[in-house]
Amino acid sequence: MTSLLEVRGLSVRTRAGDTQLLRDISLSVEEGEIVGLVGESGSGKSMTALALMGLLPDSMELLAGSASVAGKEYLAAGAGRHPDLAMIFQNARAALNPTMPVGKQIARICRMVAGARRARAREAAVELLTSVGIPGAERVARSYPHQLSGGMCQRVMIAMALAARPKMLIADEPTTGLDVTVQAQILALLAKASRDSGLGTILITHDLAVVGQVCDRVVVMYGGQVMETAPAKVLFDHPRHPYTQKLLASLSADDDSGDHDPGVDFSVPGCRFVRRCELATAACESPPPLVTVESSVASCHLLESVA
Amino acid sequence: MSLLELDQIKVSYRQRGRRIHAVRGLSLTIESGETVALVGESGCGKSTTGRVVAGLQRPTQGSVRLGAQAGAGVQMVFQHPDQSLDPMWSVERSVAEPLVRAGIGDRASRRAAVIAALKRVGLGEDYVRRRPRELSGGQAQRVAVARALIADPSVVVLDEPTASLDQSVRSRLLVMLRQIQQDSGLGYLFISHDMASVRKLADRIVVMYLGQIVEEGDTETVFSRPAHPYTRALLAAIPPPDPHQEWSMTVLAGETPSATEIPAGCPFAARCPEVVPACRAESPELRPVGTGHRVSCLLVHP
Repeated sequence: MTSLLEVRGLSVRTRAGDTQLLRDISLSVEEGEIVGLVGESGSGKSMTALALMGLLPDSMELLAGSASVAGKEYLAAGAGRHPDLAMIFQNARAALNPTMPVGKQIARICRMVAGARRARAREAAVELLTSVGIPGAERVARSYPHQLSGGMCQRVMIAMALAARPKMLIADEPTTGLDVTVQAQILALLAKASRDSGLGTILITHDLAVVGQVCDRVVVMYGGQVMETAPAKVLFDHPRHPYTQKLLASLSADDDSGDHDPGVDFSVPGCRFVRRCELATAACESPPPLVTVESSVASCHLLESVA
Repeated sequence: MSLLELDQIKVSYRQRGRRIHAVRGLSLTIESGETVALVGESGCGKSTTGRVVAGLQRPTQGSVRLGAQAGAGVQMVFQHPDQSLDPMWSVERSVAEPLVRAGIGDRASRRAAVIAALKRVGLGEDYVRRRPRELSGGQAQRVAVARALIADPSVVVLDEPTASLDQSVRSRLLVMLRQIQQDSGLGYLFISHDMASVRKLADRIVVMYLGQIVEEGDTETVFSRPAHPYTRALLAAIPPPDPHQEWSMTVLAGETPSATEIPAGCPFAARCPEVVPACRAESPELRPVGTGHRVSCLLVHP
């Protein structure tokens, strides 16, 4: 039985060939599951999402890896984007077409994907806007993005993503910059979609409180590598990887000792966290093994003795 | 005497032919060494209030008074350090700018002041020559804080200073801000919608809705005994950091009404889960309900 989304050995490098930004990323998402993708700025979370969507910038190329949705291979096959995969972005207003009413933008997708006729597509757009909790959907459907608030634009984008009836949704920082009240509305909406229709979701965020509350499992990234994968509550109770431990500890920092980040060295063959890891040994200069400790999987030499 | 006193501030302006009532009669004080947090949703008037305090916006009505012992007045730290620092300028030039503008000192004394200001924000002398693009987000925000500190202000307005930073970088910046305050007795007006940061830094919290204060009190009181239904909704919307703690994701329906058409009665009535008919007719006043705790709600009694 394969997972809804199955990613194996995804690697991305710059076209110039000098830097491997993502190394050997593997992850999976089950039906109805919300998987958090966490890490600091520059950890490769958004790059992973773009690679899965076939939206890598021109300066990047896929070096290796495969991805499938519902058992259908698409990435290695060069098939571009998978029709069952949709994505929403951080700055929703910028991702919408400013010259077209939002209802029309959604209706176009209904026509393309479901082959709906014009009038039916317009009705479907209003229904979708209502389903994402927009009051007065008829009026909002006639509005342009600049007439709507940030939270409203984010809901419009979710409606647009759902219009394509995807099985998998990638949400890249969907609530960053929004009010906490609106964030709660958006998260409730995503949780409802996974619960009611079995939508699988990757939620990219740097807010660990959000992860702890809405995610089933978590994938922790650093320097373009997966450091640890674990059920959400297990990750908070028993962080296994030294990086995960540092990340969780930093939230309650009570001194300004300034863990001055020396930055990631993308050329090292071993663990990319090696320059910041206080526990690093000579072994860490070689690629880390995947170690399973109970329900967690961490990529770390130091855990080999534990397992 | 307080470092800063705002008395019945009103700000309104015209935008696309409509009048926006951004701030509607707001009074607050900041004492020496105190951090006052302004919280509320987008459009509640918290940023406008910050701009009034920093002297970037003239109030339509009301007065802003700085205490007698005040140093060089008020400085401001903005949300996006990458946008508030000139990309062509060295760190030294950016940090020295307030002194240059005020015509204070010569080149050598200003350099010494820059190095001292950088030291206060935990950055070494080697940073003076760097450009903004060579700084991480956290370092750039430290440079912006150094620039605010160099002219020895009595109050610093911090407008969402941690919003664009990673959580780990965020905590360390807050710790640094608190240390600087303890050393200097600075007052902070801390504008934020990140309630976790507010809880770490603020002594007092002022909750705003549609340009007015709906509740104010010391941080512990507001977090543990929020009295206004809006404050309670705002706090309920924050995911608890402990994953084992139940979060109901209580959804406050709708959005802040537009500041162009201020409803009669309580401004929160349209979204309030506890609304009664009187709320739509009568405007509640800000009344004391405990020590330093004031609430504007018809349903809350001392």
